[in-house]
Amino acid sequence: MTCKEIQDILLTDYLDGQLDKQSADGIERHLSDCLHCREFLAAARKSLVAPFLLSEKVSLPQEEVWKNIKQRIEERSSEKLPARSTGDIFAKWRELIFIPQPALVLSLAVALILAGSLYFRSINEKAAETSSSENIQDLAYLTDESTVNDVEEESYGTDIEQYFF
Amino acid sequence: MDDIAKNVIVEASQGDIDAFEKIYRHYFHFVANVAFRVVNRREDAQDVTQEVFVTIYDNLKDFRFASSFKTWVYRITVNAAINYAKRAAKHRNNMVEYTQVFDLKSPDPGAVEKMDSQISEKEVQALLNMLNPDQRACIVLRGFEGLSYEEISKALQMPINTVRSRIKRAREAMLALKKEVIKHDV
Repeated sequence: MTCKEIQDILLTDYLDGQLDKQSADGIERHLSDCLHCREFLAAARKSLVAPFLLSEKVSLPQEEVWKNIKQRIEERSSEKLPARSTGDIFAKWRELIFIPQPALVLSLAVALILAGSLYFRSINEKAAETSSSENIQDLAYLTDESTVNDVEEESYGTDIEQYFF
Repeated sequence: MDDIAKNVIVEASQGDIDAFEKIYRHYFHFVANVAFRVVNRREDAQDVTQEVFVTIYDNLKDFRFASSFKTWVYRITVNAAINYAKRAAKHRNNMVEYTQVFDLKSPDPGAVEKMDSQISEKEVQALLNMLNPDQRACIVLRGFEGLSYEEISKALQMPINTVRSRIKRAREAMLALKKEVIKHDV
């Protein structure tokens, strides 16, 4: 290893005690033979480690900061409450409209079936009343040759045209 | 730093403000110190500290215990501080500031020891000012908080070699500045 490579390690892992024992021993063997790298290490310790160790930890006003944080949390909670109550109303409506509960679904289904059966019954009754006379008319139309011929004469000769006209 | 008990985190995540206060008191000094060292101004550090704890409170319900809680707190703190520092980045003449720090040295040898801690504090601030917020975060976590490279890598969600590289570049920059100052003094 060159001195530059050794110094890169000195500046990081060696200074920070991140090397395993074997690697650290290798670096120390180099240091014992190299005055230049020893001086580099001494300068790095003095300039880059000692000032950080000597400087005191900052002390911010812990109680004041907590008061502010708590206030912010509580303010936001109280802001959310009215919004939540309004939101709840909409949410309930949404639930009623878009997310029906099982009981609601069941009652809606029963109501639809009943309404449907009543509707179809009334239609059937009307149909029953008119079907006899219509059937007679249809049968009469089929047997009336002249009417059938008139229709064929008016056609344009294709199935599609017959369908539309 | 020890991790806080899981039940405290769970209770706080359910909106228990007393449980959250325990989290606050447990991590306050770490958060405040890292915030201050990264943004380098007391008032800004106070803002960042508040922001960090409000963010923690807001996101507690999403914390899944996949990583350690303290690593999660480290991450929120460093990200908040770096973002704040980047936003508030001012174009200062760091060289001038650093030179001024050394001009504080008293010629009286008896006063040197007394001045050492004051100089050290100012020196540290000036050295940190030399670094970009990303480098500063690595140096703060290592130099002040004593985190291992692996812990820093987890906190910043970056490969350990990136952490190593940032620390190396930061220290090279700080050493170069010191050499410049020594030349300047001579």
